[in-house]
Amino acid sequence: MPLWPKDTLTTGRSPRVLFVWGANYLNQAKGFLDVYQTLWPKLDLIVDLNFRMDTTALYADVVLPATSWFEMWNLNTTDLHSYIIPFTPVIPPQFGSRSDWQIWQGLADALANTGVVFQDSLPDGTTITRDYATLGTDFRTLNTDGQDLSDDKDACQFLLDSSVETNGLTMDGIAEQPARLLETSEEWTSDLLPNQAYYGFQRMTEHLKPLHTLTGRQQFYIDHDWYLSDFREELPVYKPPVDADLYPLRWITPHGRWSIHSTYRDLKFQLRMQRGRPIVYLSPSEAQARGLLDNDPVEVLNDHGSLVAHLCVSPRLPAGMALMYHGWESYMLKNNLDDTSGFKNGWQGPCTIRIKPTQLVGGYAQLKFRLNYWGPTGNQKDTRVQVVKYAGTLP
Amino acid sequence: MAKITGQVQMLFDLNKCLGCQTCTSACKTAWTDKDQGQEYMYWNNVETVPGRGYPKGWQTMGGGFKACTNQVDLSAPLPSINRDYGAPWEYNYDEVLTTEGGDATVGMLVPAPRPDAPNDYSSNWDEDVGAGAHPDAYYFYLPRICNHCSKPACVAACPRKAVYKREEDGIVLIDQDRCRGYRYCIKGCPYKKIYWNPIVKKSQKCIFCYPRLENEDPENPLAKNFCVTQCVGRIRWVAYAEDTTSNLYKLVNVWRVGLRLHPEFGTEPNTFYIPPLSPRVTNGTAPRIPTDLLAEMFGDNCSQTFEQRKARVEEVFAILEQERAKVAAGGTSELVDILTSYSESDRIQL
Ligand code: SF4
Repeated sequence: MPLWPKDTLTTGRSPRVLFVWGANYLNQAKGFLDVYQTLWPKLDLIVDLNFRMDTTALYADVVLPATSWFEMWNLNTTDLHSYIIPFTPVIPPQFGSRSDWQIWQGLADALANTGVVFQDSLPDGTTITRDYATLGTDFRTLNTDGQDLSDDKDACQFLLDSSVETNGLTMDGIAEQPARLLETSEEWTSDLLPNQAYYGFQRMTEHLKPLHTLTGRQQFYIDHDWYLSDFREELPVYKPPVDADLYPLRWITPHGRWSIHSTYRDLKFQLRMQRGRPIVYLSPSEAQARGLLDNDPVEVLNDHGSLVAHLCVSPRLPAGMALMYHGWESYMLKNNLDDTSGFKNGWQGPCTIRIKPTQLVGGYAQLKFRLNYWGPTGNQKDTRVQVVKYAGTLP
Repeated sequence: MAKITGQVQMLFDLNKCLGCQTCTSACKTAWTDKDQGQEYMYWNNVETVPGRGYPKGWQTMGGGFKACTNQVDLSAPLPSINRDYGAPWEYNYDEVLTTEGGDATVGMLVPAPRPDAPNDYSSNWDEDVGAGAHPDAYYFYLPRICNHCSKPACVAACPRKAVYKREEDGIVLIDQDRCRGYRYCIKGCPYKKIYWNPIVKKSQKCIFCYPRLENEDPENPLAKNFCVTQCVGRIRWVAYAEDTTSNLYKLVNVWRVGLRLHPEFGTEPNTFYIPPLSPRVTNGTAPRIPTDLLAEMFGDNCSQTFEQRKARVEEVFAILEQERAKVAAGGTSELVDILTSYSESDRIQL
């Protein structure tokens, strides 16, 4: 996986500006407290482009108010289905907010006004000149022949025109009626089959197109050295939890159906249909062993952090597990980040990221770094915690 | 009561409900989020079974007609808003999220009133708790609206004739001008689907989205009940009882897989439920959701015995399993086609 700028870890260079866009980074980062205690002090400027006040926005220097889905033209899609989804402005931007496209454009113009020119070197060693003076125009015209894309809808149309999947569709057309992609390019694993939902790997099963694996087939066996001798994982294998955080309960934080990650987590209408505040689940036997009753305030803790929530006792849980659906805002848990009593909160407080060495393997057939497909991920499944009755007072 | 010339009906396939509450939110934001006094009301709610439900313990609270007679049971106590329906919490968003150019003044978002007392409750407090023991613990989701019953106990209970059943479609409504807030209807309704608005001091309830039925949008004729159009699981069918070509009619009368919720209450509900199948228990053949529990809840009419109801639940399961097996073996089944129908026009037939 590329680490950029080069030698970051050895030269003492450190990040200065954090620009968060389309994420609630601070709240959702594993190792929550580490991020806040080690990264935040290094930063001169934290900018958050956001349509709501969330934990990250509360701890940013500047919040750029963005439009939500129904105040702008925009596009959305994924490679898991075959539709392209338009966002349309049902209402005009509220309270001075701007669409993401307009905000980025404004930033490009502001940088252009600085007139900064400098030399930059690319990873491959070539040197190029960066001239900010043209940034605003470059942004608006992209690499078109001077076509003006300053308008959100025009920019969306440009995207449609530029992809083989969507060249031929119009923004007005897809706003009027849902439209499938017109074609799938080489990168997709399936053709578009009329009257059939899109599913993966149809080209492999029906046209016998080889997979990008060493054998060209589905492959469970990996004969890379690290897998073979260093970690003995050449075939899928069960391994017990790593020998750290020797606490009794596995900590499980699945996606919930009450939010999309942290979005809507703090919404009154949603909370009224739950228990009104963060809850953590234990089985009846684990609750009983700790003398805990349903709706008791409890502290979930390990060496990395702790949080206070209320207990929900449910027989659907196995013994040995503590479960909390994810995405609670830090301000929904006890105190705020700056609490000096040593209390560490944030729903990700107990989680750290442990890099799994085999996921660092690259350049070997299908094991090749590709964002969201292969690379080191947040392996937090070995996290273990204790749950105890919370003795303090809650606000 | 005047003769009903048409009757709306709704059917829910409990095998498909995700408990996502999209229906509840659609109903809430359409009908009960503007007027004061309605905050706690969910004309459509979805509760976890087993569980105490909404309001707490409604299944044993009383109301309805005694033993298939015409005598309304008015002995039930009136549920309390905070204790039984659940307090509609408000939150200190302004203190926590408004920073006034600096730090927010308060660090924690808390519900008010705080749900700390042992009896505190909310409309969905028992969500996902369930019963049994791991790995055979079980629960399912039960969406509920007013059943727009053919023999409405609320209508029978009202001394003012403020609650009435419309002749043209059987929708049960409360005339807000006639209502004096006596609340006999709330005692009389065994499903506790009428709510007291303490601000306007009148009773209010699910209106089956009748304004959407009456003012059909020619561009969008399927834009009917919000809880149906928004249902993510596509678990709901609506139709007039008289329309023998509808899919709802076929499910209830031809395939006979739709059962009534607590028919022993004697009100002849116009909502039907397909009971939930469940996996077998570990090391056994019994379904994880005990059939006894389902037979206590579902049946066809007020005079069936428990054994007859249990036999009906088992019969429904047998039909579902048989038709599923046909499709799994490469065959076709009208029942499975209807249950998995994709397009709104196959489910919204009003
Ligand atoms: S929207 Fe449909 S699937 Fe979701 S809870 Fe309501 S009835 Fe169930």
